[in-house]
Amino acid sequence: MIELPVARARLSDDKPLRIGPFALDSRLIVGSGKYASFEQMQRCVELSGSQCVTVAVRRERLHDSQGRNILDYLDLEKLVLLPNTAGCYDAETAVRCARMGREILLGLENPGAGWVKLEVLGDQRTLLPDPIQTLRATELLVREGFCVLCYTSDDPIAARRLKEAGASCVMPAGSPIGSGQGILNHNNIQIILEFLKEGQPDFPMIVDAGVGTASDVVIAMELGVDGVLLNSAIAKARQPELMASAIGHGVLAGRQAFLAGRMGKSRYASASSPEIGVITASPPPIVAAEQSQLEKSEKTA
Amino acid sequence: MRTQIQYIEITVNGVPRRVESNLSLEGLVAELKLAPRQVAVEMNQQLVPRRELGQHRLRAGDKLEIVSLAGGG
Repeated sequence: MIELPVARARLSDDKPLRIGPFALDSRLIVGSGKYASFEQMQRCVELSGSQCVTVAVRRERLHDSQGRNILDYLDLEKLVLLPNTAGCYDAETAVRCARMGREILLGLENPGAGWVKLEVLGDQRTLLPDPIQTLRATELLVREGFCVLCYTSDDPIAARRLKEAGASCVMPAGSPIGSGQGILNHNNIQIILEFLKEGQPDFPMIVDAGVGTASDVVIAMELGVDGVLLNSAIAKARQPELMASAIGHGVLAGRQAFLAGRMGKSRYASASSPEIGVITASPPPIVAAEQSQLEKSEKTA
Repeated sequence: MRTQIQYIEITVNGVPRRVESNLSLEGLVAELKLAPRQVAVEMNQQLVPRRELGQHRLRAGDKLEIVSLAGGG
């Protein structure tokens, strides 16, 4: 078994990720679903360097079929849990779900009580968000004092409306949940960044959904997003632990590249080696037929 | 003369259940062998805070949702 490096939580010269009253060193938020086992989930969370894990709220299922509890595999001292409203298709149900998530985290005394990843879906096959119900749920939850992180599409107008409605963080999808296609519309993601950060450069934007592999994460971070949220990219990889480490490092690499400021792009070449001081070019090689012709003419001369 | 125990029908997580009438929500959580700190209880679509579970008595026809945390993205 190879030793896998644990992705360090934060670059020493970077600020933490701030969402409402929360400050996270790691810019990666990971989901807790779809793993082969709770043990695997636990290892992957650790290897990714993430400090924030999303959880779902579901009818009483305290133990899996072997009588185990997911809470036994999430270190509540080190991790902030972020309850989601996954599976909700209307604002009222999502609000009820958020309240229940808050109540449970209050009982567990985890700092995640009071924030929620809001998902209000519009369609079962695509799991695309319902923009109208999402907006309505955001308004209701903000009124109840929640710190709302909104899952939304890559529509810049929807993203802006959610920020105006009081969302603490807007999270556009790169592509459908669990589809692993990465960012499908880079242009829209960049427009959303501009819209959300206008007048408020620290307003957090997180790419959530559709991330498939480490390069997707790097690309997102290089665009300037503040963080990435993913679940399937790790859980459904052939080797989840290895992917967790890769993705943890990907977040750091992408963030470093963004902070470093990439070189510009141009149509034409620009040599990397100096152009003066190149040695004289050698004469071109003579082919065999030409060589014997040359020798003949030299003999007759 | 022994008093007869009265039972009522409620619904818990979509499933009908017979419980002793006048059972409190706190009593129900205990009957279901659940850890009160790890669940949230909603009665007739209203969340009941954990500290108030003992104050609510069940009545026939009550619809409860008792939820806990599960894996999710």
